Parts: sequence; C-alpha cells; structure tokens
Amino acid sequence: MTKKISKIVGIDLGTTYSAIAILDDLGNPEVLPSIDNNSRITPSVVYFANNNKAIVGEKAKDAIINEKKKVAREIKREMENDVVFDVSQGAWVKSDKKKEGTYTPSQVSSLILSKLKEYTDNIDKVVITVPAMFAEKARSATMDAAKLAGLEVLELINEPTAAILHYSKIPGVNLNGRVMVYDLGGGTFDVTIANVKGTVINIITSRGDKYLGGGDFDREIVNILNKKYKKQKGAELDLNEKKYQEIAEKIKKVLSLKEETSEVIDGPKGPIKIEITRSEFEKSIQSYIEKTKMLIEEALDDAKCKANQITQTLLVGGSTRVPIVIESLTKIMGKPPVKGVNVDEAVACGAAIHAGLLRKKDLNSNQKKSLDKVELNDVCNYYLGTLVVVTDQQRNLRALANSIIIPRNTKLPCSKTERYTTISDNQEGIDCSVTQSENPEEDKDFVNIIYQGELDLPKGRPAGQPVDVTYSYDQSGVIHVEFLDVNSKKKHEADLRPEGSKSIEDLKDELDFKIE
Amino acid sequence: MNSTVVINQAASGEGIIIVIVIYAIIWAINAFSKSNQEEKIASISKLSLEVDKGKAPERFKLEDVECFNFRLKGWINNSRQDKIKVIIHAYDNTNLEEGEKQGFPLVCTTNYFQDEKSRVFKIQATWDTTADTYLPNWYDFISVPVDSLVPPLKGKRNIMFRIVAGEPSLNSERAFFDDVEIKKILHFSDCFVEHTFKEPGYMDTATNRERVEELSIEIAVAFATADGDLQKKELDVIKKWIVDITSTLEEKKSKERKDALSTILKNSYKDSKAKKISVSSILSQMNEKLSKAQKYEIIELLLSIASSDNKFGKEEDSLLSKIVKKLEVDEVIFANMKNKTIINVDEMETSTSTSEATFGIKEEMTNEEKCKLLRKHYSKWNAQTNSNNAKTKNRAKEMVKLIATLREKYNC
Repeated sequence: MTKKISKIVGIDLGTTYSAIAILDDLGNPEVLPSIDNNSRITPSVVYFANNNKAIVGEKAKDAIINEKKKVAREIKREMENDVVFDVSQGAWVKSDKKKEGTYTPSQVSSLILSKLKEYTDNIDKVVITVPAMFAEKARSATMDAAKLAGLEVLELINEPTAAILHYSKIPGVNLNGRVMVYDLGGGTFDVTIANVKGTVINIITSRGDKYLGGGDFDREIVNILNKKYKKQKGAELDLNEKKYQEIAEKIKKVLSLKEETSEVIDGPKGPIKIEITRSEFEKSIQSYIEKTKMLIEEALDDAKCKANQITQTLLVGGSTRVPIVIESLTKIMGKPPVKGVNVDEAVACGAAIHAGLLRKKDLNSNQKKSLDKVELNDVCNYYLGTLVVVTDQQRNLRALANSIIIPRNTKLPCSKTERYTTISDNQEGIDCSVTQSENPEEDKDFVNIIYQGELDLPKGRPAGQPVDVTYSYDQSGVIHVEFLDVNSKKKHEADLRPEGSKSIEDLKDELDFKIE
Repeated sequence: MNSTVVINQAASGEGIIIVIVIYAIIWAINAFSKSNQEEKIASISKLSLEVDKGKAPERFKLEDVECFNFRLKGWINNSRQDKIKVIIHAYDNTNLEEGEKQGFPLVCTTNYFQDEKSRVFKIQATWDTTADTYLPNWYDFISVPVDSLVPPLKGKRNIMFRIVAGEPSLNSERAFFDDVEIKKILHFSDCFVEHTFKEPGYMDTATNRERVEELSIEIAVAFATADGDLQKKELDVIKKWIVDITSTLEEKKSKERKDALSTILKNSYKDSKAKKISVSSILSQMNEKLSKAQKYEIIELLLSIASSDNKFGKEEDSLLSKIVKKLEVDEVIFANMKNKTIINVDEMETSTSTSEATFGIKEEMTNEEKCKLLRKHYSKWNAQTNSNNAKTKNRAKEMVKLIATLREKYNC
C-alpha cells in the first residue's frame, strides 16, 4: 500500500483576511472556499467563545457587536511583539506574566491556520506567506503558529514574491522586463521590483511598511465619524470600539464605488446619521499614500531604474481597490497597473505554486509540466553584519559599530567573507554577533542582533590576529555563520533559520480550543 | 640575408674592409644609443611629491570635500627587492627656529591616515616594484580631506609634506625616522603648502582645556534653564559630566578641579537666573577655542540634558538646533547623534513646525531637496519600525508619520 501524498498547499495569513490555496491536478493554483459560507477569503478574526470554543472568520466578526472583548483581530501586527490577547480586557497587553485567558499572537494565529486547514483534508506541509519586511521575530512567531496548528512549514515566502509567481503563470498577462508588485493589504504594504521573463523571476528588491494598510484607512474613517459626531452631539465616540472599525470598513468599501455614503452611528449621546464623502476620506489617508510613494521611490532607487522603465505594475491586496490608491500609483508610474486579477487571492495562489516548486518530486506529471519552466531567484532582504570595535573618527574613542558582511538585495544563495583583526594583546575571545538591518547602518543602536555567540582564542598572542567572518545564505533563508581565528583554526559556527522559537508543549500551554 | 653576404665576403681582402666599415657603423650606432640612454636617465626625475588643495580626483569618491591631493612622479624603484614602501608625513614648518628643518607633525582625525601608535598623520603603502620602475607622469596617489588634518596651532600654517620611499621594512614612529630606519630610505621628496586652519590646533586644545570646560558648563546651564528652572535630573547630568572629565586627573588635582568647576556651575546658575548669561557670547568663544571633537562632546552633553527627564521637548529641540547651527558642526553627524537620543526617550514632542529643524530642512532648500531629504529620513526611521526594542519601534512609528505629513506639506 502506498502512502497518499499530501496536498500541495499555500497559505496567505493576512492581517485582515486569510486564504488557502492548493495546486490542482493540472498544476494550477485553486483557492479553497470556506466550509462556513463558501467565501474564498476568511476574516483573520478569532472569537474566544465559551466552553473552550474558538470561532474563526465571518462568525467571529459578527461577535464584535455583542462580545467585543472576546474578539481578537489584526493579530499579524502583533506577531513581533511581546504581548498577549487578554480576553478580560479585549485588548493586546504586555505579556509580563502568564495569566488565564491570555493568548500569544502565535497561539491566536494558530487558530486561524487550524481553521484554514479544515477547508480540505490531507494537509501537512505548507508554504506560508509573510510581508517582505517582516522582522525575524515575527517570522519565528509565524513558524510557531504553524507548528501549533500541526503544519510543517516548507518555507516562508514574501507576499509580493508569491504574487509575482502567480501573475507569471496567468495566461495572457505575459510578464516581461522590470515588473513592480504593489501589495497593499489590510495591515501591511510591500513594493517589490523583479526582472521577469515569462516564468523566470529574478527578485531585485523589496521595500515595505508594516504599519500601512486598509486597517489604517478604516481608523481614519472612524476619526472622521468621531469629529462629525462630536460636532453634532458634543460627545466623542470611543475610538477603540471594534464596531466602529467594522462600520468604517463598510464605508470604505462603499466609497470605493460611490462618491458619498451615510451610516447611522450609535454613540454615547444616541444615534445619528453621518454622511461621508470620498474626497473627505481621500484627504484623511493622504499621509499613507505619501508613505507608499516614498517606498516606491526607494525601491526604484534600489533597482537603479526610473518609473518609466517598469514594464508592468501588478496589484495585490484588497486595499488596492481604493480609487485614490490606483490614481496615485498611475501618476507615479506614468501608466495604469495590470487589472483583471483577483487581488485577494494572488498571494495564496503564488504560495501554492511555490509549494509545488519545493515539492517537485511529489508532483504528478501534469503538475510537473505546469511548473517545469517556473524559476524563482530571490534576494537577501536585509543587511547582515557583525559588531566590531572601531575608532570614533570625531572623538578618537573606541566604540562598537556594525560592519556589514552581506549587503541587502544580494542574490541568493550567497557567501561572503570579511577579515577582521583582534584589538588587544592577549585577547582571549571575541563576541560573535550577527546583526540584521534594513539600511546600511554603522550605529549598533540601529540594528537588530539576531544571534550572539563567543569564540575563545588562544592566550598569549599580540593584537592584530586575523579573524575571518563568513556568512552563507541559502535560498530557503538559512544563514550559516562562521567566525574563524585564521592562525589557530578555531571557529564558532551556527545555522540561523526562521524556525519556531518554542517547543510545541510551550506553545500548547493554555491553548485548548475546539475550532469552529 | 645581408649578414650572410658580409660573412661570405669576409673571406677576401676586399671583404675585410667591408667588415671594418660595418663594425664602425655598429659602434657608432651603439655609442649614439648609449649617450641617448644617458640623456634619458638624466631626463627622468627622481621621486617627486606634489600636493595641492582642491577637489579630489573622481576615483577617490570624496565629492564636495576640499582635499589635499597627493601626486607622485619619477623613480619608485628598489634595486634590491621587488617591493618598496612609501610613507608620507606632514610637519608644521611655520616660523621654524634657525637651523630647524622640520616642525611638529600634524595629526589626523581619521584613523585610516594615522600612525599605528598615535594620532600622527601617516600614509603608508607597500608596492610591487622592480629595479627600473618609475612613474613617467604625475600619478594621483591619494586625497585626504583638509579638515581631517590638525596642526599644532590654528591659523595660517606652512605645511611640509614629506614622502619617503624605501625598503619594505621601513617604518617611522610619530613622524620620525631613527638612524636604523634612515638607512632603509631610497628616495624622498618634500612639498610645501600653505593653509589657514580655522579649528584650534592640538596645542591650542591643551592650552584652552580649562577654559573650554568652563564654557561647556556655562552653555549646559544656559541650555538646561532655557525652559524655566534647572531640574534636578538636568543638574545631575552636568555634575556627572564634571566627575567624568576630572576623573582622569591625579587625586589632588582632580579634587581641586572638581571644586573649581562646581563653583563655575553655581555661578553660571546664578547668572542664568539673573539673566546675565549670553548664549551668543558663549558660542562665539566656543567657536574660537573648541576643536570639532570638543564641539561634539558638548552637543552630546546637551542631548543628555535634553533627555534627562526621558522627554525631548519642542523648546529644547529648537534651542539645540540653533546652538548646533552656530557651532557650525556637520549636520549629518548631529542628526545621527540626535536620532540616538530620540530613540531612547519615552516621549517626544513633535509638530510639523519644529520637526522641520529635526530633519534638517532649511528654508533655502527647494521643495525637491526637501522631499529628497525627508525620504532619506523616512528610510532610516521606517527601518526602525522593525526594531526589537519597543521604545525604538514606537518612536520610529511617530517619526514616520511626521515625515509623511511633512512630505504632504511640500507636495512631494
């Protein structure tokens, strides 16, 4: 008897909506509909109901009206933070101590993944997408969430990269030349530039903002509603009320189609009907649009090209439906973006294609044929460096500084070695720190230390002993670091990979929910 | 073919004459070549150094910085080995005493151009060479930013740059070659350049040290009291600074100096309360007496005072910007110092009006320049929204928002 091969699966774990896609027998990605309502996207909302039941999706959203404190949303924005969702407060709070009724972002996310897992059977290995600029800690938390949901993560792939994979396989799109992905989702914004020739994709650069998305647009609408309510009633709305966010999202969707709309807002001094126009909304989100413009400029600079050299602009994410977003993008790029693709599903579909590329030996002949010519070459999204002692030029003092070893946007796989020397006579050891930063920072305060180790050195040697530091970064995101004392051949090595930080027992602690 | 003919003809008497004539011609040609070679050798100059002030050659990537540009020409050979070492130093030869050939060496603020054991200016390189290597044309060797060199005294100085080339083991210590090293020298050349140094020299710094400390306390008190009274935390920062700078002195001197500076602190506070402190007067004295390094130390002290209550206020920000402008320090270095302070405070008062100064936006800039500058800041702060440090991350989010608002204002 042969073991049934598990499905080839990609998951878009979004801030506001999530989606799961599989590769069908012909090798085409197919988004799976929800078992609750047949919808192909599932709200990333979790309702902690009584009797240890966790309700995920549309029904959880509905619970916001009556059980607002038990509903967790925008979990993805908390993935890198040391916070827990406290059901008694209905908010994300600092996780100082373990307390009953509190759940980490990984735990809450795992409930969403578990829900998506229910949409089909025979799932064990998946590719999950993350924003291009997701911090190492957030990637690690995503791995924890998958582990807890009983999923083996083949790889985390950047959302815009997944989207290009999907676009490259759509008949009629014909990607060719320098392509830009404009990915504006519910909570994050990424812009990626790639060289594409058919289905051969070479990523050049990615830039992003983790605090820019449709959720922020909703908050601006709540602010407008509040101002109008206060003007008419003399009282303020509670801006943290989740129900206003839901109303705002509804208004945003209507304003994407109509010039104006109105809603009845129930506040502390009773309900009133408030009218809101598209131009009011557009004015309120101007600073966010400005941020997207800056990131596009940065990405173009990184790719050493001008807007008019971009052959196609691809849209991803539900927030690209806002008209001012398209207008602004068209103005910057000098031409309209590619239309006609489902912007909510592109990322999940791309993730499924990537899962297929990673599991080639598990594919049937049709799937193999379909993915045969697909090739993806990614780059390093961060600067990787180490901390070294340098002389402060201005003050002639010795100080700790960041020295870059692998520059951002270096094509993967890559390996680079830099030579340093010991600074004092009889130096007995060196700190082996691995740093990560988005910019070429020299100041240690502006980098994240993602690994720390020590290398003991032989005693009794003068200063100036050579130490070679080698970083090797492979396609799957594993970074091998080696600190080698050249003369004694003593070395310190480590493999850094985005993997869950906790054991499954720790993760399961206080999480015993039946998913509904 | 011709030579074969000659040999065959040499067998006869007639042929002998022909051979003699040919040898005579060869001799004449050789003699001419030799004298030509001598002429050539004589025409090749010895190793020469030329130094001028101005823009550095493009390949050195030192745009917009006035540099001393070093050029070499002539012999750069070593008849004994396949390598040669060149060392360049600079000496202040202004007003030398009779009989003196070289003055005090210049020091350098950049460690790339420093002696191994001191801050003395030194450029050294070892090159592959042969017995007949020479540079027929002026070769752009290196450029050094003028501002990175510090003479003993400020003002108009006559600088002697000296290049010495010799054995690969050649070395100098604090710009001097001892007898053993002198024997290794194969070539040398001097070049004189006059330059007016605006910053105090290293001897000036030593002479002015005590006055500089006093001025530092005066400006610190003036800065701390600008928003009302001197807060305890602000006072503690100044006191700690006094302890730090006197800690390197021997015990008795340290106590005396600490007492003297404490008196200055008290008097400055009294003067400040009585509105007798003139910030502009202190700053002009500081410009006269402080080196660049000392100016950055003072700015760091002021930043510590500003953030002592874990809050970076608008008033403090505005006054600091004015002080920095008067001290004429590098705005990029100041911006980096300030960023380090900003990320570590709990609260920062921001508004579009004061934050323009925070981001170094000047009225005279075009909108395009302002937008470009803001994007640079955005890149820096947006990256910090990924920081593992929660304080840094929150500050970064505020700064990003502020930058986007300013970009909106300038219609970027």
